[in-house]
Amino acid sequence: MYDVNDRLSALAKRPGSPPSELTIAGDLRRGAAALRRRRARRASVGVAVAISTLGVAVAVLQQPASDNPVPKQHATTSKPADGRLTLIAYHGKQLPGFKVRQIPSGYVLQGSTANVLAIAEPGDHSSVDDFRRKLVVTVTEATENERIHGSPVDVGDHRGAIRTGSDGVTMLQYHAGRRLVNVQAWSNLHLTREQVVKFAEGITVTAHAVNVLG
Amino acid sequence: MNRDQEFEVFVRKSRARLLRVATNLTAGDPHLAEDLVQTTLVRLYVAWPRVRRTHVDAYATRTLVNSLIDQSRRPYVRRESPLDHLPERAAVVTEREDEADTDVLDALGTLPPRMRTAVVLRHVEGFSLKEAADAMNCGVGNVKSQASRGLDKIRAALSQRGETRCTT
Repeated sequence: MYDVNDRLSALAKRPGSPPSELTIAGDLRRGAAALRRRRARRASVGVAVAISTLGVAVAVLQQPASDNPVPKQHATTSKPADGRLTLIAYHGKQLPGFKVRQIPSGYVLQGSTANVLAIAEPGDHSSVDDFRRKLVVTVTEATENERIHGSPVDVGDHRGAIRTGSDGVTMLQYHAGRRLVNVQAWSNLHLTREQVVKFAEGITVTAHAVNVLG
Repeated sequence: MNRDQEFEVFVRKSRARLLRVATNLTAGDPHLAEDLVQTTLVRLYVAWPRVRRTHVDAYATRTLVNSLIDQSRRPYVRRESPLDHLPERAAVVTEREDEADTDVLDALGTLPPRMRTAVVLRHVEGFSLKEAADAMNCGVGNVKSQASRGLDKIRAALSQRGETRCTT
């Protein structure tokens, strides 16, 4: 006879086999590669900041004293003092499966697959399927039993729900025909719920997108 | 020793434990467990100069738990909702002990990630309330209530399967 506690603690007693040399080598290789990527990313951000600072300094020096010293385009792409991003109109190249009207300032379309669109900071070379520190859109097959949780919101003509987890990750879901569109904003973006909804209203899922089956 | 040598020593010593914890945290999903362990080890490697000055095993467990929570936030995972009953398994002849483990793992799989984490850390790994709270980055009271509610749900799930031998 076992009670629940005994049966749970028995799970910890299962023997585990020691890792093979190949596994250990793989762990070291992945770790070293991640460290290289991080150092490269930091270096590129440092260079970008230096170039940006130099550019602003040159622009200020070249302008007459009576001119506005802060070029407007720099002002619109910087974060406001409260750390929140602003949404700006997007006129760049669209990616297969999705069309977007607005993106957070300072962010770029990182990439897309048949069912994921990732918007990330420039220089983010992580997988499109890695959703950390990004604004992502995914489409999934909506089923009759599909339930979405959160505060009800309207996304254009669609009914949806939005919720924010304890770690600040915001998730908006809405039905669009047979599709369930999921918009997830990682906490570092500090987007408000209204901004997430506004962003979602600018999304068009095209025929190239393929629903993930639940 | 340099970073690689120190890290290798840690991997040799702790990988099997991490994989076991991850397997329990994922309710017996070996592929997801391996993914979580790899993610955890990458994060540890990158932060190694800072990690090596701390209690590395505790840091690793916390990172593993964070990886599970991060993974569960992905939309295609989040939309999975718990079933209101445990699915039938294919009839496989196993030894009694293994079958019991599978039943418990199935029941663990019906819990939300944080509740499952609380149950696994407290009742499988034997963490103290404080250790579990540190690993989950939340308060002791939260761990206590999540673990308690999780246990109740596991009992209910097991009894639903006709586990009459389960005594509480």
